[in-house]
Amino acid sequence: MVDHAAEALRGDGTCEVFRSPLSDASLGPSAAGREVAVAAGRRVTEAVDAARALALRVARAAEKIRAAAEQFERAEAGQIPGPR
Amino acid sequence: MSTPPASGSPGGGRRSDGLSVLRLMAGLQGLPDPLVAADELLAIDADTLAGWFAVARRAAVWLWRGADMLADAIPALAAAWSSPTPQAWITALREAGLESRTVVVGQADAADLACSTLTQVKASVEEELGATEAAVAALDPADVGAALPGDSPSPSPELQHILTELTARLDELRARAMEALQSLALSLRADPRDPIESLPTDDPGAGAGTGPRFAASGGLAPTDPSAVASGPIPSRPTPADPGPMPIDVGNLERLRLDLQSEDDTTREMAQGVLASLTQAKQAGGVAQLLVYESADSWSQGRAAISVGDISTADNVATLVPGITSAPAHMADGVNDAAALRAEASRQSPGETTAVVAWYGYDIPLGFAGGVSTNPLAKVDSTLDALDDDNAGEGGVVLARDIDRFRQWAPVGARFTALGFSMGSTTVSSAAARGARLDDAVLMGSPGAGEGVPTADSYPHLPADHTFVIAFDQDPVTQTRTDLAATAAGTLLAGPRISGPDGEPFGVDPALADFGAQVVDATTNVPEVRMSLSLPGPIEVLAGPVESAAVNQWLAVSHHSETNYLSGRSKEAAAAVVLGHYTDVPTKPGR
Repeated sequence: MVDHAAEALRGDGTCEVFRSPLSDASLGPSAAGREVAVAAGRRVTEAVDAARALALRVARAAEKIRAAAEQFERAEAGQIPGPR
Repeated sequence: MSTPPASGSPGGGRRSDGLSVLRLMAGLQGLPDPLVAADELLAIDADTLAGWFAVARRAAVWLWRGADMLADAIPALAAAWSSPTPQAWITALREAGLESRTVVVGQADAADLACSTLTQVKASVEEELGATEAAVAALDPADVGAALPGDSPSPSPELQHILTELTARLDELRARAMEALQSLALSLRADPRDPIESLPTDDPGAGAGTGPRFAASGGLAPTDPSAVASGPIPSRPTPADPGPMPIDVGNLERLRLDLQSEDDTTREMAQGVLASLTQAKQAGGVAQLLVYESADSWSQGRAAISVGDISTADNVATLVPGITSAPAHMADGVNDAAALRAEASRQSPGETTAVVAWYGYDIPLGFAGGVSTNPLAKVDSTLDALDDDNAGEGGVVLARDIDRFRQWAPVGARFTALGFSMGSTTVSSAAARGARLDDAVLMGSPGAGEGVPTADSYPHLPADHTFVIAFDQDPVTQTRTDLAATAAGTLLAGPRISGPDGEPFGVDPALADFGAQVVDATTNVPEVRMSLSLPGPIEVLAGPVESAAVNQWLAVSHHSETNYLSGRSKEAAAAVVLGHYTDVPTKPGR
């Protein structure tokens, strides 16, 4: 389930290659227009980055849980000798 | 009558004679051209803005789905694992995802709202222009003709009324558009990555000494819990994979060697840089030695120290000092860099900023605050202070260093260069040589340098991204600096061929004709004027001279980097670094 969550957070590949279509002047020459054009360009990219960063952390957590479980299983298996 | 062309304006192609009459009338009455305001509003591309935020909506969906799946995992972990650690960690990840999604959705909603308002405003502008055209067309042609030059000096009251109404309505629509944009700008100040980046970097792990509930019956916990906690983590450095090298590892190694150097000059500079690195680390948590070149008896060397981590910064500012600075003594520059960074963090806690104190050019009079140099080098350095030659050469080096900094910084990081005094001339020269900057700030500038007549001279930096802070009390920003430098230069080094503008430091960038944005800020040093009282005839002869000298000295106290990076001017500089242009107060140039 945690692996599936990481997969969902990575997205559907529709934003693999993208850059802001907004130029400095796209929203007019006012200071507010220029500020929004720059900030919008950055924040949308960061939204995708946020999802991917979380995907990476979730994947690491899944890996650690799996590794821990495997080690417990191995440890327990060592306590119970198999048939000779 | 022919219709004046409205080149480059969206609505320009269909402008009628009626609207052109109003444009002429406004011009004759000294009023702003109403059609310019209309064109500015019609040029706003709200559709592209809305389309771009569709990408953010998709990211919000991913965050939501991921969080939803994590929610399903939490009870499963609780049921299967005796330790609360795994479920607590997954819960923290889920909550961070939801928080990030809240930011993204909030920004996308704000963008939708702004786009909706802007689209309505544009439709209203079109409507107003249409209604105005119709109203003018309905007037008696004699009344319309009366508005033009050479006819009756006063336009008909009806026509005047139409102009007044149109101007007022466009003002109102512009205010609505600005309000929508400003509101969106505020919403965009939050960084959607923050909730995720603020999670602890060291995963707590799944073990903590207690095993999974699905352990085989009769099983025991492993004898070494640490073996459980240290599962394979792809990013964690291991002996086989030491992880990425620090970006300044080579410079630190050179610094280490220089600290053992037998050359006094080399060693003194290295000691000074080490002290500044320590100071920068105390101020910024992370300090990086981005540039390091050894000093010797002919050269003061080069150094640049970043206060804050450039490799993760949203904004990177490079601060360039003026004359009498030297890499061996960067304390003031590091202090100013730390102050600017702190102000940027105060204004925008969600963003990370690194400020680089760049002592990377051959700074004139550097020996005054630097290391021992030979006497000939001192003479050379003194003459260097009298023109912009070193700033011009330094501009080439600065542009190259900024390219290197960009390779170390995140892809979308904003880059700003701020220069004080001759440092501002250096920044201007770098911009003129194609430095890849988002913004430049010229503080206490003696001039923009040779070959930079206007702010349009920067190939990659639009004029309105060049900001100038020049205190009226600062004598260095006045023309007399150029006169004094010319006079001193002629006395010391003979006649010099100055640039085509005839000024040793180039054009004053605070002039209105230069075309930069002049920041509305005042000096942070109290204005004091002294009048000396001397006895009898001495007062008559020496008093005015003494008073002038003292007042000149007081005037010079306004010219310091720290003064420019204090108070409102520091706030404005930090707002530029953040790209928060609405927070930068501007005024007409000189």
